[in-house]
Amino acid sequence: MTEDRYHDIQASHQPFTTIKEEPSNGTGVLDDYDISIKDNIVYEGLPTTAGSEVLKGYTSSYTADVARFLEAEGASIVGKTKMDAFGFGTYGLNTEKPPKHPESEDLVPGGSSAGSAVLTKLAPESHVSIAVSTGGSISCPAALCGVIGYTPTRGHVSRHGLIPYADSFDSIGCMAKTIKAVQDVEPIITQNTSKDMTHNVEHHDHGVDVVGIPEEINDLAINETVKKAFRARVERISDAHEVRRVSLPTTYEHSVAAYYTIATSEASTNLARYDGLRYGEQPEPVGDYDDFATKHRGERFGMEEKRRVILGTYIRTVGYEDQLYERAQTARQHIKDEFEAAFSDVDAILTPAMPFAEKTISEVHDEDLAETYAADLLTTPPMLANLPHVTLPSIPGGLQVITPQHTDRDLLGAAKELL
Amino acid sequence: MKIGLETHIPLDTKTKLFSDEARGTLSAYAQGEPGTRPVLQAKAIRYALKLAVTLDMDVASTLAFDRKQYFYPDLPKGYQITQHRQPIAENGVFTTPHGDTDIKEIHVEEDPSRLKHTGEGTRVDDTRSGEPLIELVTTPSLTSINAATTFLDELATHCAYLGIFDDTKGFKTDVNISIEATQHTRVEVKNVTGRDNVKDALRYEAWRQESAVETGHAVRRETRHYDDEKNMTTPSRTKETYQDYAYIPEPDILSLPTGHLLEEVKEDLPKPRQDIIDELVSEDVSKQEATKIASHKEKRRFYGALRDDLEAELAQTVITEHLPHVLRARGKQWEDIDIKRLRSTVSVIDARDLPETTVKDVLWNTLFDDIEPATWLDEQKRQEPVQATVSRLIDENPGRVRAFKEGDEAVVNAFIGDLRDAHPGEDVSTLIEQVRQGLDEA
Repeated sequence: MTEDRYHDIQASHQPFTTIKEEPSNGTGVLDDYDISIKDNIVYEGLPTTAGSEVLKGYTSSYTADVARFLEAEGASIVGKTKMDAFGFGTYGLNTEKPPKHPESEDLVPGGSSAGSAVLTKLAPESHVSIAVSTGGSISCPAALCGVIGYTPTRGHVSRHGLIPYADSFDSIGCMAKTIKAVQDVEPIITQNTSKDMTHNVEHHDHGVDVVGIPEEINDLAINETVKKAFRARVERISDAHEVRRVSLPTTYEHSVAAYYTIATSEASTNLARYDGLRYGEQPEPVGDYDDFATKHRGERFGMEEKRRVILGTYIRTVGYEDQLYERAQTARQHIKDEFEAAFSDVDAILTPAMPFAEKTISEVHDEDLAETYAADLLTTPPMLANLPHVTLPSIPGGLQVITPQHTDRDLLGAAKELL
Repeated sequence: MKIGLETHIPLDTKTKLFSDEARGTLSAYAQGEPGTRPVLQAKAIRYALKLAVTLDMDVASTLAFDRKQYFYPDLPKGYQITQHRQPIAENGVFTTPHGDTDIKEIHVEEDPSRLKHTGEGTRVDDTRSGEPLIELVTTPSLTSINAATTFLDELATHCAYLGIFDDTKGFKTDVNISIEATQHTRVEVKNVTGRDNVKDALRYEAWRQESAVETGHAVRRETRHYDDEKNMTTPSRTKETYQDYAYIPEPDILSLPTGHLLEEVKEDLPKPRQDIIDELVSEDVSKQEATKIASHKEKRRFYGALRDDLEAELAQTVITEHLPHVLRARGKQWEDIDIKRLRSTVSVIDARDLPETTVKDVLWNTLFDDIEPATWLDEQKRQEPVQATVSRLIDENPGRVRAFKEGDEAVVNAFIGDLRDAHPGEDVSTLIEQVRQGLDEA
């Protein structure tokens, strides 16, 4: 029996899609840990919805590498957590019965790994939640719920068994209450696999002495409370670290546009398979294949899924002539180059994680789309450049620490000092 | 006339292109289960490099794959992984008795699922999904229908010689054809199965285009479909362009250098075909038989295994006639044959000096089953008197045979009654089997 406390949390804040009642039976270095996994990671015999209606009734036939690695070391998997459908969301509201913010029913928990953040905040320190980021889906809810969020260098964690949103970004990481818990889990989830060709784990030694602050931060549309708290924090950090300014102009001008162009293009191919023929509930046959698939997708996909599929398909078809996709890739390369240049001067880059400290559900309902997408302004850059980063609950809006590729272990070490 | 071909060559690998499951099986990846990832298997890439080297092509320094997305029930993942931006090799030449044909490119891709259209609707068979293919694209440099079919025949022989071709499957080809009278307006006919259909589709198209010009009708630049039952082409419902396939680079496969594999492949190329033929001829194998053996990697291997034990003539017949027949009939591959078992079967055949027809029967019945060839042959011998009686009874009772062909099952029992009188003590199931076989062949 899974401990009552998870049932209690579910009753009050509904962070789970499924609570797993059977305990796991491995033993190893993670004996003392409970683990929850985001509902876009498959586990044999458990339902996987990725937060979407379209996968209702689908039970996975196999277990993802990451879940297998954790269980083999004695971690007990307690259930699967809610998320914006397919990871499409900044607030955690694009799913059935969204999880509730730990402190107030009026606030959004942040997305897309909303259930992971809510649960981590409410569960004891021995719980770690495996979450996934594409454009900031770990940093955002971690910041808004006040927990630690770690997004590794992409390639460090096998993505076998992860239902993809946009493969060139998707990175499996985790949330926890302490850095130690993250450090305990990190060597386990980065184990080798033969089931994901993009798996590539290296550890480069990298001391964090000099920290960089992007000079663009001052001029970005960031809430004053967050800006002030960030400045105060940097002031304190400068007691123990040398602080330098770095310049990332292309990054902050083009990240959101480049991210949505590439991510929706990939997403529209990844969602093509949900035509109702193969997984989940079998819909009634109707008309020819096009009629059947159109009806199924029309009924089961939510508004944001439809929007991103249409946007991505537009980019790949009508936008083909204008090379929209290629231009976004060029911007992405520029962003990578900018970070690389900055890291020749500093060891880590600090920014806030979110441009606001909190948002109410009613504010979100009144918001236009451009404003919602702009909330990803600070979380998309490290995802575009594939840089490991940690979000710390040290300031309102979260403190985001970014280091070069493959320096994950030193990043976690530094995060301990900056917390 | 100008003809260009885009031919899909099914590859003779153990596994699928992006998963280590056996070809022809179902797996989470083959069914496109969410969360499965492609893991490139090197064999298909080696095969493509072999072909590229022997066609004197420029090989790409890195491998890159793309997603080709369209909505159709034959795609379990909703997209096919192929090579659109950078094919594995470009600019080659293939020589046939009709001359040189320029090869524009070859690329590697995964086969979609098979759709089976039946009276009650269409069924999807995902076991074929993800099997490896090479698509070979020629320039429109073939100048006659004969040249096009010769090209396909020679290409099949060449791929079999390299040991890369699953010849149980055959080619699937998109053909394009244009004639001078239309200022070479290009018409493409998609998805033509096998070589004879290519010939028929081209003949029909040439005739259609010429007739159109003669009667003052325009020939449009379009994509058509060949219906092999009606032997005609019809316009396809939709026009397809690169844009409609909406390619993006495949983000689950990092680009890989080809250099190392290419060096290995170059060292591992078989001897030139002509050298092997000459060698066999010098061993008193006829030129025709030698060509058959030299042209096929597995035939070369099995001939090598048998020729020490057997007379050259019997070894040849077994390799070039009996085994291909038995493999087709039993739905088996060359790699399914256990060489030791084949050798012992063949030595029994040799020792007993059996007639040709029996040789094939022995192989058919014993090569893949748990029965010793000697035992099987003894059993056949024992049943000869029964067979003789069955033949006699069938000859004597043409009325019964007619009734049986019209569906009268009672006839079998009538024959069994007569047979039991002639062979008391014989096992009834043997009698039934013999009668049915006799009736089926009558």
